[in-house]
Amino acid sequence: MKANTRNILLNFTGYVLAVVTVFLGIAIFNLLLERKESIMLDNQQNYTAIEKAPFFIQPPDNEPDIAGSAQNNYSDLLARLSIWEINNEVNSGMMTTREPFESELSMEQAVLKAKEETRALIQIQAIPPLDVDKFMLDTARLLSKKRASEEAGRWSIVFVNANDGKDYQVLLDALTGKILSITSPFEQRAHDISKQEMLIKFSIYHNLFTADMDMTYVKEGASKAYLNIGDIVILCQNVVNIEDSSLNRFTIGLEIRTKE
Amino acid sequence: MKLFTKIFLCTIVVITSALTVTGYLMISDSFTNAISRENQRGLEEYQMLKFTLQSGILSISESGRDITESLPALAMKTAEVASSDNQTAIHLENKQLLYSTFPIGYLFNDVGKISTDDLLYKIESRNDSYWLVVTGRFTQSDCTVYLSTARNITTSFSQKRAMQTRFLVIFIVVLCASAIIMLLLSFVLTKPIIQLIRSTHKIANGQYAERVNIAASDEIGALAYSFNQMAMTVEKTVRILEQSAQQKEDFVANFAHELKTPLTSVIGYADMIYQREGLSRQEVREAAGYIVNEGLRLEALSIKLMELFILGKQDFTFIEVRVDDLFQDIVDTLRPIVAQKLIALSVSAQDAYIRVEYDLFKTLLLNLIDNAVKAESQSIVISGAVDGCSYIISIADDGHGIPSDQLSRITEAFYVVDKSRSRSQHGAGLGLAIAVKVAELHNTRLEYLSEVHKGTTVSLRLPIDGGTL
Repeated sequence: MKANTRNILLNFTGYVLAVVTVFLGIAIFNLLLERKESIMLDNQQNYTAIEKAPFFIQPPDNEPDIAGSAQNNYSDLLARLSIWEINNEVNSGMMTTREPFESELSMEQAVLKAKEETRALIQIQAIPPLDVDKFMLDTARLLSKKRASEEAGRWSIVFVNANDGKDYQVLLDALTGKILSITSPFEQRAHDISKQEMLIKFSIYHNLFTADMDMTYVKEGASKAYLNIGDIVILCQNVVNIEDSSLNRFTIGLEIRTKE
Repeated sequence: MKLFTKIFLCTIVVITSALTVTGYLMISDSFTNAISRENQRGLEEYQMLKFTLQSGILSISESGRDITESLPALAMKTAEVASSDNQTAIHLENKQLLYSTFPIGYLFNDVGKISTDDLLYKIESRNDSYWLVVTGRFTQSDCTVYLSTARNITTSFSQKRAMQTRFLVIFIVVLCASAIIMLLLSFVLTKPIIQLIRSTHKIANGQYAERVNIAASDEIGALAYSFNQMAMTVEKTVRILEQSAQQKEDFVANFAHELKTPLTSVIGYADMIYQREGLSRQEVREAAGYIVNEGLRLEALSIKLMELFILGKQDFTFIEVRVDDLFQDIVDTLRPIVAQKLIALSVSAQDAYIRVEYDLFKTLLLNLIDNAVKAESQSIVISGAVDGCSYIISIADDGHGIPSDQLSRITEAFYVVDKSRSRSQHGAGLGLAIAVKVAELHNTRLEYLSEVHKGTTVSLRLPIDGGTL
């Protein structure tokens, strides 16, 4: 009789404990998640410094060694372009913005360098003539790939002519300061240099025009031409607006040959 | 607590713990990732706006315009660039607000602590909505500004709560389903154990033939098999012990029974020597000789009965005996009894030799005659006759006889036909049981012919001259 009562008491206690465990489980589950949420909120009430290097702002007096960086050769350039290749599985990812690293050009340096390099390209007749001094900075952003290495940064700079509203855009390598691509307005009459010539001069600008490189010139209609140098492609394109010649656009830039 | 209850409760506790931990880790991880993604987006958007503002200030500086005058317009332009989910507030170094689209009363009380290289962010909760606020300070062209962006991240919190609710529903459903499954499973698992317990109780109560019938190839099946093996061994051992005890009881009873006839003779002859006067030397010697012989036979018989009933011995030494001599020995043994009961004992034997274990066979015949005496016979005839290759010995009496319906039971130990008469004659019902056992030892059997109130004839057949029955 005594053992039976003890057994009934044990069973009852066991079932009560099981029910308590279930409710306790639910309560702990909710409590932990609420705590998690509250920690996130509480944590933000105290300002926390971001330790993410790309978001650090560069000291303006940090001059990169552009002369040293100019010694790019084909393989270096190919490696840097590959990071931006669309089909590159390793480096593919969303484009993002970030602060320049110490080895890269700051915004001020990039803007100055962009104008300087544009003048250099005009001088060697790699692009149509343009009165650079009339153009003022509109926007400048440093672009990079989320999964890319530190060397993938590119400054995208837009200059605007306050008088006629025309703009020209430059894509500048944030490390070397070299113009990777430029889109500018042009006067059709003023520009009588052939596309092939401009492509060759653009390749010379990038130290790609050497005797040991296999080069192919491809013309695609009247407005588009390519110069293939190994896996690097230099594109040259004129977009002519018949009705309004002020909307004519000239583009020259480096791309990487898309692998099939 | 029953095993069934233990299994059930333990399962509930384990499932609850597992679900709680798993659910928390899953939702917590998902929530952390969502907030992390929102942080990343918020920081990227901040950076975009910062570049816009920074390049605007640089442009103003390059053009030689007054930055202080142009800054409010630039701040507005920058705020317009922001996406619809992203609100912007721009302050000067002295905390003067240049432009703000913030939906919440966000104050820059702590902004002064931000260093140039720092970028701070926090989650603000306002009226059931959550905002990721990113604030940074930068200097461009000697102009220091504070840029703040607020990104609405209420969806991440709503999703987390929705997941939490969904998981609780799943938790309860899974727990209920598990409880039902475990109830059934526990029942199935403990059923054979309960069966084993019942069988154990039965065996404990003496039902040694009890076996469990569990057809399973698992541990329970192995246990059931071992249990049956154990039960079989127990049953066998108990049977052996019972047989042994029975044999001992039989021996004691049989020996006591077999003492009776020789002792009657011994007492009779001793009484004759004691009471009758004027006995010749020869008569005294004869009586004493019978006493000695019966004593010796009794001694030998005690050993042989023990060998037969306890040890189950079958290879006794058989000797050739002349039937006349055997019958004479029996008559001599019975003389005092016959004299006392006034019974007419006649013997007629055809001359022959039979192979018998003398003491046991004599006991057999004495038991048959003793039964005839107990049946209050007036006349007993012992006869022997050759029948082909066998020799038939018959003992006929004119006693009460045995009813035909009881003939089949008279050889059972302790069975008596007339209980009241048997008690008065000190009968135990063992004589025929012993006789049957001895007959079996001699490869023969007893045959009964009886008629109530007329008498009984018991006969047995033995081989002679090397013949077989």
